[in-house]
Amino acid sequence: MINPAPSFHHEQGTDLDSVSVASQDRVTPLPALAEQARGRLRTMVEQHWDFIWRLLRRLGVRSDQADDAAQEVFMVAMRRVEEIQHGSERSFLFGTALRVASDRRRAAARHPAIDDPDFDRIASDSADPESELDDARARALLDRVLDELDDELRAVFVLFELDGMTMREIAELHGIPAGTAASRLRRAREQFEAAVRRLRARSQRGDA
Amino acid sequence: MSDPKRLLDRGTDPLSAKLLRSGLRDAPDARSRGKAIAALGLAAASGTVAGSAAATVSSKALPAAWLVLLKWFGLGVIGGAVTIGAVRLSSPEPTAPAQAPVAPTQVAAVQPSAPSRIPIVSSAETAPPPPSAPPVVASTPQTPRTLAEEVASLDAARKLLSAGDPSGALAALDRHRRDFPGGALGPEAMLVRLEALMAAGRQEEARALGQRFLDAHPDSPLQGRVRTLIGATSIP
Repeated sequence: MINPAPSFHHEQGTDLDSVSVASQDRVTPLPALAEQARGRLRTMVEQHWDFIWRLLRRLGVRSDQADDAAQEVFMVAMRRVEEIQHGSERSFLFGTALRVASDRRRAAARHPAIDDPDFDRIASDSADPESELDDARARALLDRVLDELDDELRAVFVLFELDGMTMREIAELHGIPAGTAASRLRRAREQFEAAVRRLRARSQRGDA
Repeated sequence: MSDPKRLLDRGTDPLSAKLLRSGLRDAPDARSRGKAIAALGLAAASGTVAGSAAATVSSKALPAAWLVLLKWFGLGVIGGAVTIGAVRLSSPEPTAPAQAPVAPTQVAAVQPSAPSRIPIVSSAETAPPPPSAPPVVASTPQTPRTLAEEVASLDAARKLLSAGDPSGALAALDRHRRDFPGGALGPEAMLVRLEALMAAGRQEEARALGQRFLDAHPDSPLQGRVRTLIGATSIP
């Protein structure tokens, strides 16, 4: 289930913040899929779910929203399966994921979360809360640092540094020349380093 | 030009390394993919041999050689359907019913060249034939309501509206909201509600609903449609 936007949800039970991507094409019911399309969609989910989930998470979607966001990506694919060229499934999903993540970050900025759910769960359930909290805190700080990167640089950065994709794969995924991908990685690394420096400075001052 | 070394491989300051390593562990919950498949209405029906490459057996499409093989394995072709003992596998109609979220039962394609790989369908359950009317999928407490069901529910409301029954459409929308709180088609449902309210002569409510949306979502691509529906003339 997609999380509702608090300000609008109670009255009408609608989630309007996830509107933009799913409705960009047309606001009509999802098509009934022919068997072949269903099979194709299902294969896409089997093959690319983990990748898309991780990507969304690393593009700033909160961990408790990542399942919904990933479903949203595949819903868009469902609507537009006819347009997806065979062999280009991952590129299509990638492009969709970029938009979904961007929409969700904008929405999150308007309705900031007060508590990070992971911290609560760890504090109550974990067998080793100290080290889990340490990991969780590091992950939250990574989110904050990555948030400071420009969107298009962030994608190249996480795919290369965290997913281990090659620069050639990354360029193909984006549909950009290899040189452009390399340039984005360079700039992304500069922004990452600068953000880490600022983080270090803030924590030394005691206000990170 | 070969790729640069990754920051974690090349070595970087301890803080950067710690942050990046924390991101390496990102992974979805083991069940989330299965849940997504179910929610998207892509789950295979029970009694099938698992495999996304499963093809549907249609008696019309079966070449003669396959029919011989099927008989060899004690399978019969009766009245357009392949029957295995107590299991009845129906072949789909050429034009499948529009809203069937229950997939026609599928059987992995018989491979004439490799008879040893012909799978035995293990389930002895009788598979239901594809429904011709909009199907009612029994939803137990454990069954997630699928997107396909949500689509069908909203479609029912739309049909009532097109048929000139806005009150019926609004009642259907209330049921839809109750059945799918926070559902994926929220925005679409909101638009249908706007149209229904206008058609029912409840313009003030429609404008209030529409205006709240416009105020809350200045960047939404639905802005234009909502404005048109409620006849808003001023741009905030």
